[in-house]
Amino acid sequence: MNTSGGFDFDNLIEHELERSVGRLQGPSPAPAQSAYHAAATGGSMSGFSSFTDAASVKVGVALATAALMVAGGAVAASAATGSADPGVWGKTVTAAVSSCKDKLADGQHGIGSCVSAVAKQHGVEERAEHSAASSARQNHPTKKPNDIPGNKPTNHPGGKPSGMPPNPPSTVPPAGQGTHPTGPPVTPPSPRP
Amino acid sequence: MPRSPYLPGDKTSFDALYRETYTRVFRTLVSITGDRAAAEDCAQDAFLQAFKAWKKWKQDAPAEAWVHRIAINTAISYRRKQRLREVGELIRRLGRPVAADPEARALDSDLLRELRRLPAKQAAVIVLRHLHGYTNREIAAALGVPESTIATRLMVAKRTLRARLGGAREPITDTSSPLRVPPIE
Repeated sequence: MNTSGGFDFDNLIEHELERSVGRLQGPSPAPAQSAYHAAATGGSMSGFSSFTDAASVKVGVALATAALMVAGGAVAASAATGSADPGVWGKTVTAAVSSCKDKLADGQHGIGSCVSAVAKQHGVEERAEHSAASSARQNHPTKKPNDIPGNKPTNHPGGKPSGMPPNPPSTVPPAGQGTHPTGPPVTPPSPRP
Repeated sequence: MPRSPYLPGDKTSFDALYRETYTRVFRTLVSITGDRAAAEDCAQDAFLQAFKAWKKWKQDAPAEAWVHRIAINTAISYRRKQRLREVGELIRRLGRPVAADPEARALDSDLLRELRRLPAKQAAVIVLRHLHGYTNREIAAALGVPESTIATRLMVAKRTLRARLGGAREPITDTSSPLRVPPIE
């Protein structure tokens, strides 16, 4: 106890603390209204939500991977058969498998290279057909510009650019001699000083 | 030491601890922060932190002292941030009269004002000892420091308070305050 001249400083502090804050009441000591209670109820939900988030991300990644694998398979098959139609390359591969099996002796394995060779051969033929068809379509007067390789709108006279006026904009300079009619507009070279 | 009625990790036990200790923790925080709203925020934050660590609480330490320790650390952080805010506030209000807040004025007794000027750890020791009646040993357990450190903090804090309050012969804000400190002899 600190006393000085009969005065008790400790008692003084106690008295003053009691007077100023000793009777203060907090807002409410009800646990239901507390931050920890909110965190406990919300926290478990948020924990669950983060778990589901993580799970959904994983599922999403798995699905994306699967989709890429399927797409990759389709692209590979499409490249091998020359056709984007799964029915076409499915039949091609089935036929190749059965013909290759026939070629193998009993107990012999490994038809992969045979099937691959057949598929490639078929693909070459299909691609040749498609190339011919494509070049024929390029001269078709009603061909839409978006289907032309390069996906660039052209000034083709018979084409119907979507949402475009029938006449080319006046700001586009006329194509010079020797330029391809479907090529991009040629900008005149700026004069150099 | 009597067995604690609280069970670590048990939500019902923590609810009981909250109900039992909230008001005292709140008063400690008001004394240290000097601001009722800040004390409420700090109290909620402290109990939230305590709840997160509830599984780790060891039954051989008093639960209320443990919560107080967390609360005082929260108040120390608050005061640190508050000091930074006050610098900005001071610059903004430079030259303007500061409006008197009745709530703040109610808590603005000489002792509380001087408590807030003390380092938070010293203020906490004064409050735990003289408001809640903790012994030095209990304060040491609560704050996780040696008992001798508590004794030193108490001594230094009281010396500072005595000097400052003794210097103010006339109470500044509260004339009805029983606090009349005679000059140091």
